[in-house]
Amino acid sequence: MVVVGLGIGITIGLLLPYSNTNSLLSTSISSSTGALSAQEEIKSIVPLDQIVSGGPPPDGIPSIDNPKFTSVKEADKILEDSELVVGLNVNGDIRAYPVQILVWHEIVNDNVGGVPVAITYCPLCFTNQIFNRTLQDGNVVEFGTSGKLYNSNLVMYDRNSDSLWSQGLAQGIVGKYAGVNLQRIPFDVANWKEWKELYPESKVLSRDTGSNRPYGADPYGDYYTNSEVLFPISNQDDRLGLKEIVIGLENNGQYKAYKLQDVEDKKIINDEINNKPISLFSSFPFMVRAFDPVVDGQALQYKYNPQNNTFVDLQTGSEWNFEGIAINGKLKGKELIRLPYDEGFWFEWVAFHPETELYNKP
Amino acid sequence: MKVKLLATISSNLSYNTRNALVKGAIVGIITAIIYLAVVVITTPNLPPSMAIGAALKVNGIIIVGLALGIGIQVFTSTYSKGLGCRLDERGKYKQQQHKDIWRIFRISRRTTSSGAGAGGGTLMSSFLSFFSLVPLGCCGSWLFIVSMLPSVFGGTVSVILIEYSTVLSYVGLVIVVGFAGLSVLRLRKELIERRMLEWTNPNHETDDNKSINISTLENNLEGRGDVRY
Repeated sequence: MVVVGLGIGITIGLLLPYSNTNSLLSTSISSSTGALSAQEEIKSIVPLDQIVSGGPPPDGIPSIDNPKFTSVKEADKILEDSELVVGLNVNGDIRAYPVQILVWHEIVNDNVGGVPVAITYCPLCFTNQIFNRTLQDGNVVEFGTSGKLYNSNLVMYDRNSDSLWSQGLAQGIVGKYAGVNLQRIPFDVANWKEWKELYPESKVLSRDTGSNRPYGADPYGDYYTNSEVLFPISNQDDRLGLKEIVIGLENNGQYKAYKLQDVEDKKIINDEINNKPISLFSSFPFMVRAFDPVVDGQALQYKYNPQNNTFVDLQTGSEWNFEGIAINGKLKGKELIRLPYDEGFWFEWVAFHPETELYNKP
Repeated sequence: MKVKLLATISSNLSYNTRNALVKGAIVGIITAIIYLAVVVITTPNLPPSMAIGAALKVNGIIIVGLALGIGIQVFTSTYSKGLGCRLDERGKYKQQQHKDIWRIFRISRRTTSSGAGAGGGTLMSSFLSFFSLVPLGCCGSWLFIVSMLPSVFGGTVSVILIEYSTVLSYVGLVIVVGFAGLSVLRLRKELIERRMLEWTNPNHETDDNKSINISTLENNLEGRGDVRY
């Protein structure tokens, strides 16, 4: 009993010194508990009482702000083939961020190909998302973990204005930037085995993060694979299992989700969202890319070519690789525009977008 | 009906047994309450009822097992003391080994070592079982606390503790319950030996007899009949 009591003391002792370290964040804390005073009018686009504390203080889970990188060869010594990495290619600058590191930091503030980006990961919802840190007003922000949750999803704060941002909404939700959208950048989630073969010149985020963390151990255990969710879900939808991984796309307020498994099985899905054509390519496990299939004003339809693990458009017979580049045929040299999407557990997607359509595999 | 049954059982128990049972039950319940209080404090994103429900769902066996194990430890310890065992009399043990009373101190010594073992098991089991509560919150308290492990234990040990936290928490529980069971067995063996000693030497006066006499007197004064133990 004494031992358990000591546990409480240590826990409270760990958490207390971090309270009230940030004015707006602490104001948000008080406002979320209904104690907001008239002087502290804060702009918000979501109900404040739904932004709840996860326990740790702001930056209790430290973001990586000066990331260091190693080569694929070096990284291969510590990464298993089956481990997941978040991959990014901006202006030819190719980088991989192992999930085994992201799980302990959740945010990496980086500059890739000359673009300031934030690589974010919410383990609870299995949502990866990469944002451009340059806002519409031209300001470049740096993100940290707020220690708060909205819909059981990561809430970030920016260190410039202390505004709170929802990862799932890709939008500021409280403070100066409430209502401001973040630009999503297309990325890959891939097994290390495929990533290192596809991009052997890739830079890989190093474990030398400046923080002493037990990299290689996942504190979420079998959470990703078991069917249970232990916290309340704001909008439960039985069309899919809670932890089914989906690809979510949006066009002009219309949302549509695709089971990752369906895309992997079919290899290519030609579809429309709100009359906008889209194509989903899948050549490797876990890796899905969404493209705008319109080339020279013509919306192309594709089929999978298993011989070369490529795609052939039905209109011109041109062959396209996984990068969305025509490598053979009439359209050789043409390049499709990649579209950003959300990837995560179904319960998270449907919590943020309850009106979503679901793609039905024919 | 149940109350009447409990009252009947209670009246047939000795003062010492009842005292030990009550103490054991209280401490066992408090152990479970403290465990759940830690869960509630460290899971502020969930309503307390939801946090407790989740903890019982994930770690129900650990919570009940720890409460039972600690409760039994307290019961055996209190019962032994009620028979005349006093930890502060351990010093006399070496000088009085030739006396019959040595058995009492032997129980006491064993109870103390069992208590230390059970305490270690409780620490291990409760702390590691909390790790399975990490999925209750993205960037939640337990992710925060677990992330500090390498500063205390080093990287390699931390990885092992996290990867095998569930197995290790059950090992801790087995230690707690094991020590509790061992204490009960030793106490039982001791009671049998003492009873045999009384049969062979009815006039033998020990602290044990004294405590029984006191208990009998108390019970008679309260009109509750003979003492049984």
